[in-house]
Order: sequence, then C-alpha cells, then structure tokens
Amino acid sequence: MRAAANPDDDEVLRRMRAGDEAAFTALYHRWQGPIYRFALRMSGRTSVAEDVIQETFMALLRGGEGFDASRGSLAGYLFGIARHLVLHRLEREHPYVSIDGDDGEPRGHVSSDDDPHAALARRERIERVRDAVLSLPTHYRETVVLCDLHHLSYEEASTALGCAVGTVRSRLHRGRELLLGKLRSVADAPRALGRAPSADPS
Amino acid sequence: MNCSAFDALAGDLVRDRLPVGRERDATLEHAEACTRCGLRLVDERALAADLRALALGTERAEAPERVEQALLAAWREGGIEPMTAAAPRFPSGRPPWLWGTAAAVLLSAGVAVLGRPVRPAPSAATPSPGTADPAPGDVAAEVRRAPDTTGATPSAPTRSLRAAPTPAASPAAPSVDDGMTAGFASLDGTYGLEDLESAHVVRVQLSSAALAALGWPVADDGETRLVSADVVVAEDGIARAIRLVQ
Repeated sequence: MRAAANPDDDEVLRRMRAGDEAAFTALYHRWQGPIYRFALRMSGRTSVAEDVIQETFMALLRGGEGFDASRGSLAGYLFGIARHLVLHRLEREHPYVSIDGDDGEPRGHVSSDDDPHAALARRERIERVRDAVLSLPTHYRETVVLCDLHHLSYEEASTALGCAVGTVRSRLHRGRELLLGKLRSVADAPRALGRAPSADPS
Repeated sequence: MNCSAFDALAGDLVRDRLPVGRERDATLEHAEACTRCGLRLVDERALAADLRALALGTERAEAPERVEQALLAAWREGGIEPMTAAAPRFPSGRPPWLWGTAAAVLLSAGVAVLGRPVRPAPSAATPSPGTADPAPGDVAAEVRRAPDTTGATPSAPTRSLRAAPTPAASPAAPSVDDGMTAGFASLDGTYGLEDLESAHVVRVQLSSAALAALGWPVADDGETRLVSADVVVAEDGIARAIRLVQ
C-alpha cells in the first residue's frame, strides 16, 4: 500500500520518453493504483478519481514535462499532478462530496464470517472516519491522506504538496487534531439509524 | 518532557515514525505520568487504527481497465511529445517566492482592467497573434470579478478566458485560444494554459524588482520602474501565467 519512490522509475521513464510503450505501461501499472486511491480518498468519488488518473498519466504521456529527478521522485511528481487535478475539480464543481449517494467511495466489505453486530459497528465507525476525513479543509485532508492513508514519508509528502517538511508535519498534526475533534463530536451525537450503504457504480 | 512537547510527538509515536531512543522513551514516560497526555495517546492510537481500517477498505481500488486502454490509444496515436518541443516554462515545483510574488502582484495592482469576457472556441475568430484584445464578436455579458485571493476586493472586472473542454484522450489537441494566450510565460510547471477551462486576465502594474523575482532579466541600475503586465488567474485564484505589455 505504501507509495514509496521506486529507484527504477527514472530509468523506465527514460525508456518511455524514448518511445518504449512497455515502459509507459510499466509506469502506469506501478503507479495507477496509488494515484487512483489518492484521488478517491481525497474526493470520495470514483468519477473524479478516474478522471484524475487519466489526466495525470496524460501528463506523463506528454513526456513528463516539468519532472526533474534531481528535485524529487517520480511518485512525488505524479502525486503532485494528481493533487492539482483533484483540488481543481473540487473547487470547480462544488465543495461537497457524495456521502451516501451515487458515485461514492467503495465501502469496505464485511466478511460473512463476522459477527453481524460487530461488523456493522466496525463499518459505521469506518464510515464516520471517512466522512470526517472528507470534511477536513483540503490542505489538511491531503496531508492526512498522503501521510496516514498512503503512508508517505514527510519528505515524499512535501514533494507532492510542494511545501516544506515542517509544513507537512504541522498540517498533519492539526489535521489529526481536527479529526479527533470531529470523531468525538460525532460520538457524542449518535448518527441517525437506517442509512443504507451505497453500491459502487464503477 | 512537557505536555506541549508530547503533543508534537504523539502523532509520530503512534505512526511509528519516532525512532527507538530517548525521545521515544520520554514520550511514553510522559504519557504514563500525565493523565491528560495518557488520554491523548489513547485517542491518537484509536485514530491511527481507524485510519488504517479506512485505508484497508480501499487498498485494492484501482482505475478501471478502460482508462489504460484510452491512454494506450493516445500513446499509439502519437500523443507523446518530446520535452524539447514543450513551450518554455518555469521549472515545476513552484519556488517559494512565487506565491508571494503572485499575491504581491495582485495586491499591488492598480488593477486597471478592461471588462470584456472572451469565449474562444475552436471555430471562433481568434485575434491576431500577439494581441491580447479579443474580437468584438466575442464580447458577452459574462463579466466577472477577479477572484479574491488576497482578502482584498478587486476594484475592476476582469476578462475571462474560457476554453472548450479538451478531450482527455487527445493530448495533441490544439489550444483553442492560441491568439489569446500568445506571449504568456507559465508561472506553473504543472498546467499549461491549454489545461485551463477558464481563467481571468488581469492587467497589473508591477515593479521591476517583482519582474526580476519572476525570472525576467532586469537591468540592475538601482531604479525601480513600474511595468504593465497581463496575469492569467485561474478559477482557483492562482496566478498561472504572465506576459509583459508593450
């Protein structure tokens, strides 16, 4: 799950730039999952994630303009593009995300072996956390998503976000504080029952 | 260790980012000795577990197959462009001074702006290259105010550029507003102007020092001069490109 830089990326990118389709495919297979999940976790919408992954790799198709290996990893570059695209979409369309309607993030599966009550409680808990993450201001959300959900190092996150490591640390600290506060307030005000889980349309 | 230092390290502790050593030991000892921080550590651990569970719920999510097919089709259509053919751009990864400069540009702008929106379309008559003024037929009633990026209220409406959506699978699609965008240098290494669906052009006055900060060669004669420039401001309020006005 961890989206760490791959030392082989630069060489594969070089081959891709030389016209090697297999190299492009290799980079796509290596990075589409992490980038797609990042967009999905940031937006909560599969349609946004799909657009973002396509546009991110279109940038790579154009030769990875602006990528400079001496400034950071290809992963950081791709996350940086994806981040721009996600923020652009969120700002352009509307500041709200689908919570329980169509096009939502796939919900976690509950094993049939689980105790139904425990599984339901666990599922509701995860949904509360997901909603809390999606309700964070974007600069805290992206930091939490990159560092806590994608397990990027502070350095990798700083490359993707285009800010200093210290800024990443402080945003993560503040983002987690906000999350704790939101989850406490939700716990104090129990949710309405009967919310039906949605199916993933994608 | 005090509570403030504990707060700063609690997140690293639960995320296993605090190396084994004296600092880690001191953090754990403080949590045992301080009720408030002990509870905070419990909360942090619960949050870390919740976030792990949330990540697990989507750890196998991947882009659908059709995305790869579309990208490969674009590749086979010759979508790749040599980097040397790219329009000149500033390096990616915006330098730290850029935002400050862009904000200063917008703040210090006397923002003497013409209020004529433009909707260039592939079939629309485009102005002659090198000119910023749109064709009269493009003028519409859609006059917008500049986005408030600085907290200050813009004093004049701006011109609006709106490009038709570019098909995602067509990387070589020509820009729809080549005339409008002629002469602009990107302030952003990630987006080209052709990537913007809409933007505002703001005419500003900026000092020669600000120009130097943006990378323009400026004679260092000790004098500060004001220069007119057009700045492309995207809908998110971020300055994306600039060109000097003769």
